Amino acid sequence: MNINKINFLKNELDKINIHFKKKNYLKVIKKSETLLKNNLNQHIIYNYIGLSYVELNNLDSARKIFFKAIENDNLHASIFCNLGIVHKNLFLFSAAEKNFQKALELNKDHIQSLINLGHLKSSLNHTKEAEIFYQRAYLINKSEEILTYVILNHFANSKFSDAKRIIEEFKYKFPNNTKVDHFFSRVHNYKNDTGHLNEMLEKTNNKNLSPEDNSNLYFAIAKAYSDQNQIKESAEFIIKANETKFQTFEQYDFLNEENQFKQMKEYFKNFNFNKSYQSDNDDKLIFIVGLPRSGTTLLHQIIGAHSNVFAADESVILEGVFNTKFKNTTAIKQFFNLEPIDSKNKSDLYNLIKQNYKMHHPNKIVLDKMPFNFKWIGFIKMFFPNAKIIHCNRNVQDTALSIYKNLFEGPTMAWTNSPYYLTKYIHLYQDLMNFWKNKLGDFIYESNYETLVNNQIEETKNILNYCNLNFEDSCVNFYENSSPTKTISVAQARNRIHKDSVSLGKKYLEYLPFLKQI
Amino acid sequence: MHNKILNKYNFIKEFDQSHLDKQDKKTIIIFRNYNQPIDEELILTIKNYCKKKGNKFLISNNIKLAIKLNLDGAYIPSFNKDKKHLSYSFKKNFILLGSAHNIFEIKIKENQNISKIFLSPLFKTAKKKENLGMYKFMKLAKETKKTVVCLGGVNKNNIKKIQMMGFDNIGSITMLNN
Repeated sequence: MNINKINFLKNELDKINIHFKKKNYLKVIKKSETLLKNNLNQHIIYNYIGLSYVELNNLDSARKIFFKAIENDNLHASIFCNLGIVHKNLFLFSAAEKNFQKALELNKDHIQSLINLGHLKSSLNHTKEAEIFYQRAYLINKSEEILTYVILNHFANSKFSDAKRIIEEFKYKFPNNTKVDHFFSRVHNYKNDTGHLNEMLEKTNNKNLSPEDNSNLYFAIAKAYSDQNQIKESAEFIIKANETKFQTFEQYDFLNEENQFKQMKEYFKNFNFNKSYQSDNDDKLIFIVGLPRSGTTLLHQIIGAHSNVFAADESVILEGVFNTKFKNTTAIKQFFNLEPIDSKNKSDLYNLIKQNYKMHHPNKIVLDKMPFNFKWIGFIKMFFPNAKIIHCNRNVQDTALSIYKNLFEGPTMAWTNSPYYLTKYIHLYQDLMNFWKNKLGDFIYESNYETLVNNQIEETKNILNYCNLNFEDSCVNFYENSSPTKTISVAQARNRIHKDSVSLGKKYLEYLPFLKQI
Repeated sequence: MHNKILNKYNFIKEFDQSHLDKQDKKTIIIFRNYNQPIDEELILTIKNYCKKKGNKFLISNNIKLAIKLNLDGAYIPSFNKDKKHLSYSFKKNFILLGSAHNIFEIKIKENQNISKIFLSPLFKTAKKKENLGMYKFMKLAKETKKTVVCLGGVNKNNIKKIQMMGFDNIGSITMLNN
């Protein structure tokens, strides 16, 4: 390339970069395509086009452009990494893994590929493998983002002392970041220790903290007071934490949630499950569903301790595939109107889900404890009639309190930060679960949290029996060799069954009156 | 990464034909036995057998002998800090490898101008209870631009882990016997 061409390219790329930062993705695509037409076959141009398509949620076009880059011998780590991201978003996990691996073959220190491969392994609950990739990234760059991943992965692997070591490093490097206080509070018992609590209370005087930072801090303080059984103070900070957090979701629309519940009932109301659908009868799947904080992690640890079961934690597969597939009302309508029932569309969907579950473990029964799969019970029955579904039931006030006092990440969880939406969501959930129970009866096993903690062995036997699994002692002593879990309950999951959380809601009724309305 | 072909190094302390027969052509054989005086006849026998099989053959801690017997190279153990060999005249493609356990030894090996550093022990072994572990190993490996060979407790069960760590050179005494 001559010097004029290099200067021209540099100028054009600067312009494209500005458009990209301003989120003018269509302009980015147009300008970049012009450069490609001028025979400027540079990986960065393909990346701009592909990533713009990703931002526009046009994953098929993104995929095509990265393939085109590879066809044109643009064998750059970033191309394979971005293609991997697209494949992961399309739930083509196997292809995504190969892409990230290829990127690392081209550049073994390609940090985005290391992080993404870590994420992929983590989402398959292969957290020990994820640790390798996160550690490799950590050795290259000790950024806030990477430290966070390392900490969370240590939590998942029960390496709490290692996590605390990285937390200290995090605190030292980023003293104003309160995320780390929240992380620490998750695994620390404040019963006889007020050091960190005082530190956090001191931080609340910092006027420069963002609402996000403040909410992290308030949730952590509430947890500390709760450990010390100072209910009034705890409730005060729970309210502050949620109010602050809810303010960060400017455009939250609960209507989407409501529509999804409504649609499920509408489409499955007259659905005939007795017709034979896609299934080769070897689907080894167990789903634990229910509200978050209803004891799903405890059940996951119990069943996951069985030698024939792979505990997949909260698998993103079902929730992700259906949410992507049915993101608009037309898509779901079309799906149900297509006949015959085993049309290519449905068979593709079945194969996609099945292959991804196989990536968790090829032979064992995969145990998915994504609580929100309760929304997809109709589809589970449709595609996997031999699967087992366990519905976790817990005193609804206790569950609501536990949801409200814990921090859930992501805009789709905004309902957890508002007493109004939280109450509404719980009512919608109860209504939908009643619908499934009336429709499917014994297909769903009802597991009561209080029964489980009061009568652990008997209830464990019943659950294993329902899952067609033999009783194993390891399921009772699950805390001795616990399965990786990435959820809020990570610290509790490593303990024996206890009754501390039973009727906890009653203590807070005075301070959180909305609990009475549930 | 996972499909990349591994470069394997196998340590032997005697001539065992059946053991050598199990190694693939690409495996480099290193004779290492500090308990007995070196028997040149034995070294030549192994050398000739390896040549017939297509394997490269190196000797540990004796560069002069490697040159004299026209071996493919030599391996400098961590305790050998000597740099005399820098004045020697080597044949083309003479392989010079070395081992280290910590940053100081890595720097010594770099000064000894070796081409690959065997870093150990990565995993626990029957002989040594202390091992570097995955994280310290990767951290140490970052300290050198030389190719790092993973050594210590390497076996069939942890090869996948090694590859995920981004390494494609492994050394072992036992694993390659199987």
